[in-house]
Amino acid sequence: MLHRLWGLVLVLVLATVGLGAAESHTSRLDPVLQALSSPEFRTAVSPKQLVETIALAWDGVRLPPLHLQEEITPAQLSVLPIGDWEDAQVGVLVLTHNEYAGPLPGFQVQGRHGPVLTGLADVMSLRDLAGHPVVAFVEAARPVAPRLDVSVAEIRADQAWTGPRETTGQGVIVGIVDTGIDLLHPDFRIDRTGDGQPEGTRVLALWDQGQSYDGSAFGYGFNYGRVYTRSQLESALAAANPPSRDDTPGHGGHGTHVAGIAAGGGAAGLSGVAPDAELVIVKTTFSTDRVVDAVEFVFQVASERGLPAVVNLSLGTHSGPHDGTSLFDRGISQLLVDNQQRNIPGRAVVVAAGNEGDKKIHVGAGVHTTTTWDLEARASTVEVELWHDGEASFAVTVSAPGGESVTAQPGQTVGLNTPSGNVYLDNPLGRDPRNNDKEIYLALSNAAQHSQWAITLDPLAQGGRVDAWVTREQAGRFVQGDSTFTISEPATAHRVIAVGAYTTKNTWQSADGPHTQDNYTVGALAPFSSRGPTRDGRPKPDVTAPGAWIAAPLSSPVEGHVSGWLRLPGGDYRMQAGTSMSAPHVAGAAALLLSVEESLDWEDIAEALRESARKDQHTGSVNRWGAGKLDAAAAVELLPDKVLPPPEEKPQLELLQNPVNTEAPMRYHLPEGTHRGRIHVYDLTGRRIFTREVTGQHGDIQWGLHTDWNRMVGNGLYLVVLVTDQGASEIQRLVIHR
Amino acid sequence: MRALVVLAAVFALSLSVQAYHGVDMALEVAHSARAVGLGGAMLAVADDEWAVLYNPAGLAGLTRWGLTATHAQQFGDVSVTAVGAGGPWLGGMLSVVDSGPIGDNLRYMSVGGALSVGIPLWEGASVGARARAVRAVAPGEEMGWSIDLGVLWRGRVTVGLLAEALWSRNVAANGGYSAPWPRGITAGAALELPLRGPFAGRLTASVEGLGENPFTIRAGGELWMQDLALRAGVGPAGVAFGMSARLSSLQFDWAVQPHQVLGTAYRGTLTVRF
Repeated sequence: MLHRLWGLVLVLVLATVGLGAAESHTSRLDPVLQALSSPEFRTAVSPKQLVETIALAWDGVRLPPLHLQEEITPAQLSVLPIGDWEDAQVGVLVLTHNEYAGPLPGFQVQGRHGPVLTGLADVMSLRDLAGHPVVAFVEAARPVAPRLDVSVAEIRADQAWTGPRETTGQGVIVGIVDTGIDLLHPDFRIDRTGDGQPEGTRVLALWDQGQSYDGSAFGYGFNYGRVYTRSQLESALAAANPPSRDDTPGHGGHGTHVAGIAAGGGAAGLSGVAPDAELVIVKTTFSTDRVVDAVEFVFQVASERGLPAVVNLSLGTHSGPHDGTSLFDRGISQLLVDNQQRNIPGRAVVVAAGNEGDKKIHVGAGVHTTTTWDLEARASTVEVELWHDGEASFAVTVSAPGGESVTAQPGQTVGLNTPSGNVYLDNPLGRDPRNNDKEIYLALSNAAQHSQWAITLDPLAQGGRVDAWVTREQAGRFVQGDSTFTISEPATAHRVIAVGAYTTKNTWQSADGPHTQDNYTVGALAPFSSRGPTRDGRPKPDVTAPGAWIAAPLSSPVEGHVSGWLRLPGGDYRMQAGTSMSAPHVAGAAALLLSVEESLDWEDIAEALRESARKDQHTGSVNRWGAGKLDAAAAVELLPDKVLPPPEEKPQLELLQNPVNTEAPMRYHLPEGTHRGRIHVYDLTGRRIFTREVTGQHGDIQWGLHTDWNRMVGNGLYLVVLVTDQGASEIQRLVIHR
Repeated sequence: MRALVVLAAVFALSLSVQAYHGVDMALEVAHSARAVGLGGAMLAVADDEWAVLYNPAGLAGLTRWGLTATHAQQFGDVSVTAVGAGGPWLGGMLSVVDSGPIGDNLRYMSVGGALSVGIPLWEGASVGARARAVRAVAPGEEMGWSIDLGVLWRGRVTVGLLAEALWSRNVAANGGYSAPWPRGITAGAALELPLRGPFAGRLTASVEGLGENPFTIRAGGELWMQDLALRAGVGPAGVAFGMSARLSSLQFDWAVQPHQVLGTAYRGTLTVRF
């Protein structure tokens, strides 16, 4: 009863809040944060009540039930350590107009990823944060969910190990951002003395984001969680007391399985794709902001050691525009380029495409006449995001199973309370600054199980294409739903390698005896494998790899919770299916490539994987299969043609930082046979204000932001060029911003 | 002349050693195509709406009102747009400098504005005052303003003087950045050529350097044949060329700056006079 009452209050307040949402800087807040920023909302609804309705990454509420997208029960809610609004912080990603390093009001930064910052925002200061001049947009951190013998041979990884290049992933870091790892599993141990008793671990570093902060993450720029070095892990292992376990409720063992596919050593019988790679593990709390931090952590560990790295993300969410512009997507893409937006050699991120190919979580069409889509609720809380072109506008009507309905005109936020559930509907007038499109946001709370709701779109003035997603596949489905556009974020990011799944096995000898699971056709695309394209029309996935069913290491802390038919005899391995399993096959293959040539960047790797992909009678549409089935050995064989850069005839100049505030560091490279050049700085009128002669084939210089006549140079835009007798470099545009 | 001496004295006393180069760039690049074609040596010409920027004293000699707009594709693919109006005694300009995207996430944008008055003193002589303001918009916000004075004597040889940033407020941002405007005096002269019939023309030059700006010479010349003109000039960025066409109350000016290193910049200006 209480549940219903506050649900009613919530809906009414949300609707009221929406009326004022157009004021001030709230257009720089996503729909959830817009509601949170309203005093009226906070007066009527407590933090606990909100948490029950909308899944958020919340300080103190970064708890497993929410992160793993399971329903939270009133009993669980009653024990959550949630305080008052005054103390409440919400996890956010902030897009700044530049790489801003100063303080922001009410924001505790936890990670800097180019222009995207991650951290905690005071709920009471959200409007101040959005109103700061450097802030372009603030996005609520949302939960992401994990994506759930024969396969190594299927992708010909074993032939890459023994082929002409003999690559097993040595000298490459494979980063696994997941539920953790079973450090005791033989496949992740090292027997240095050869006595048959492993004393070492293959894990180079482990960051447990959920543990209480002890300062160990500070050196990496993060102020939460705990980082363990290899020596610390080995000390703990010597005492048979691993400090971090892969036992996350509901999903324990996922990370161990994924790590084993990518880089398991095979000591217990089954090798992963890159068995000699180093492992860096992040046991994440599964929210978008912290996943971005986790990827950066892996790359930082790799940079410290001068090693290339590939990060595997077997996780995702359907909250977002699905076009690469969410701050989650952008934050990850940003980690693959330098501040001149050039690919960083030796870095790649591989992401599971998603398991929603057969879940009907998406519906979309060109809406030029009145159109109705039916939504079936499968959980008490259902969030739906509808995205459309910014030129179009629609009146949106939501009709409850009992016939009650509510309509939101553009610019309106409305609510409706019915016996079948409560409706919150936000139909913005303005465009979303992230992509210039518009997002219609619908949340159902207290929805009756299997209740059917109608969403009706009436085009106003100009219609256009609309794409709608249920943000959690367990929460609901569209009756008219299709399989396209189901690639989840961050597989939609612009610079990642997205991986679909196909079936390589459906029968096996389990601990309970012979077992056959599902009637998937061996060799065919797994029905659950998410399909492209992205909403901005890019074909996805990039490539497809084995994802059903895959044998890989079993995490011992959760062994008792795994059904016998999923366990293999011996107890070291288990079966799982999902694009979670196909992505680490590709991550392992990327490690094999980087082991041969560490200067490959993500585009080189993606191109090698696509060009070498196999096609057979099963493969087909690029939005189902990408380029085809992964062939690791063929990709490695392609490398000699990939690594010879064309001779550079023109001088090259790289700005190592932009914008700058005290000095401008630059790196120059002169053409073969040229050992002298000049770096000039011009103002916008074309007047030369600074010249420095440079010698040697290459080197770095610092410009102190002063003119040749010893005058300081003001903030603004300047042009920098390297000139030799063989020509001039491209003009670099340098911004001075103090 | 006494006024000039006083102006120079006040100016010399107020010189600062901390002025920053480039703080007024949003207005420095907002010139008309005609001015660019003359190498920027417009101080002693100042006979059109753009006197707002070159020498406010020139506004005293205008007899018609005009609306004008210029757009330039400047070096480094930077776009510059300015609009303004000027007429007898009064004029104003607004300009926008936009880099467009630099990489994925960086952009530079600033706006500038100027409001000028010009007052005739006696036959051929005038004085003017100009208020300038610049405001950077991205990547960070900052703002400042300055007051400038100009004088002009029109004759066969016209002489002009412009004292910049006599009074100013530093261009400042919240983060503690504060940049004084460079103070400087620019002197210029223009000679009307003794041409007859449909031809008219002038040579012009200006010198900058007394103060905090670097020593700079600009020079140019233009030749009109009824409603068509050709011009050329040289300034700190090198040579420039331009042309104009007049049709009734409309005038279109075009200029090109072939820079030795930075490539070529183009600029067009459209003016309508009433």
